Amino acid sequence: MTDMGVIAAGSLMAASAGIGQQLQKQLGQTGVPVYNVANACATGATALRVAMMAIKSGEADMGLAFGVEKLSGAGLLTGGSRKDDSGVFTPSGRYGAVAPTDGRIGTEIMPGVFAQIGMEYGHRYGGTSFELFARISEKNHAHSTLNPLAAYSKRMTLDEIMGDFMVAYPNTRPMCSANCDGAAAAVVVSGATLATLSLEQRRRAVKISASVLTTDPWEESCQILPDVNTLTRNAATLAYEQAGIGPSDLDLVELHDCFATAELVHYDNLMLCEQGGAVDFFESGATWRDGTLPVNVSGGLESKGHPIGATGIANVWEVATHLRGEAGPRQIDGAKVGLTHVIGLGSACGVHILEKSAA
Amino acid sequence: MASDDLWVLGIHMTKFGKHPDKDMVDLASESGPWPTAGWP
Repeated sequence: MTDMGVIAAGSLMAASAGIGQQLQKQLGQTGVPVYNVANACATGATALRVAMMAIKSGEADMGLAFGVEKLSGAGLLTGGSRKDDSGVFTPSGRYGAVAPTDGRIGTEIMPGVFAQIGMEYGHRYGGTSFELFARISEKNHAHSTLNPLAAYSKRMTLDEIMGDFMVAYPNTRPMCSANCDGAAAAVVVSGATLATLSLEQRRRAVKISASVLTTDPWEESCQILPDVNTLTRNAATLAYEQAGIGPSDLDLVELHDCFATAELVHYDNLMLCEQGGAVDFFESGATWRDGTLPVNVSGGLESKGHPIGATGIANVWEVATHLRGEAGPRQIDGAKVGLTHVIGLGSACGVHILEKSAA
Repeated sequence: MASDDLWVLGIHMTKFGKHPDKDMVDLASESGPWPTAGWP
């Protein structure tokens, strides 16, 4: 802990608990700055960026970023509140001219929003079906059987997935991310400091070639249906520019499959396929572990789980572990470059591109 | 490696799932990335 010049701590459900300071009492109260972070489903990625920015600014040479959540049994996390005004809307307050849409037009609960987003993609480009979305989930559950740290490591058949409890069409329960407990942490270091460390540490270090955080730009349609597409596409564009690479250079991707429908649209948003081509991209088999661009080899949020504050660092852990060549039976052979993505409604999107060390 | 590059030196995660016997500090402590950063 004495080497850590900064601590960034992410937790959404305990945003005001001072979790960073609580952890210091266990690991060492060295007096360094602590930043407690809450930023929707991008909380972990944001904590990582806070530690990175402290190093970039010269405030520290090395920093600790962690994310943690206790989420088992939390249920639906937002929206879903029944309106008690009998459908009569009285404008009031700063935003009084606009009625809240939840329960009137669409929904603000996560399963509803992401179901609508998948259905909208199918409406726009065609080719989607209940079975197609279920097969995305089938892939991720199959991948999870090789990840000992996943919350659920059970292979599920297509019939089991489609026949399970329907949460919000077309997403059944196994097609939704799992609310669970968990934590993830990373030590981030400057290149100058890394150069002073051992050859083994330099060999296992993973370069952060791009780190981007975006929010929703104003879109007319966003006023009814939250937009998870534009901010993701903007973040990916910036990340590819920062890293000086393109999607074809990626060896694996960990993207935010909070629902099976979300995974499909993010193939497109992250430009892993041509615009409108996500269905064909998935149908090609590319996103399976033995495909040309494996996606969510960890099992994704649908199997590995989604303890919100931890998720944005856990997906960096997955990619970094492959780049280090330490992923065991699920190792993507020869992995040199990977991308991670998280998105939270409200909105926040984090994208990181990581590269294997040349040391 | 350029001096202004940023690197992940160590990274770790706990097993995700139901951990009714652990609080957030327990979980965060277990995620300590020190061994993966090259320290005991």
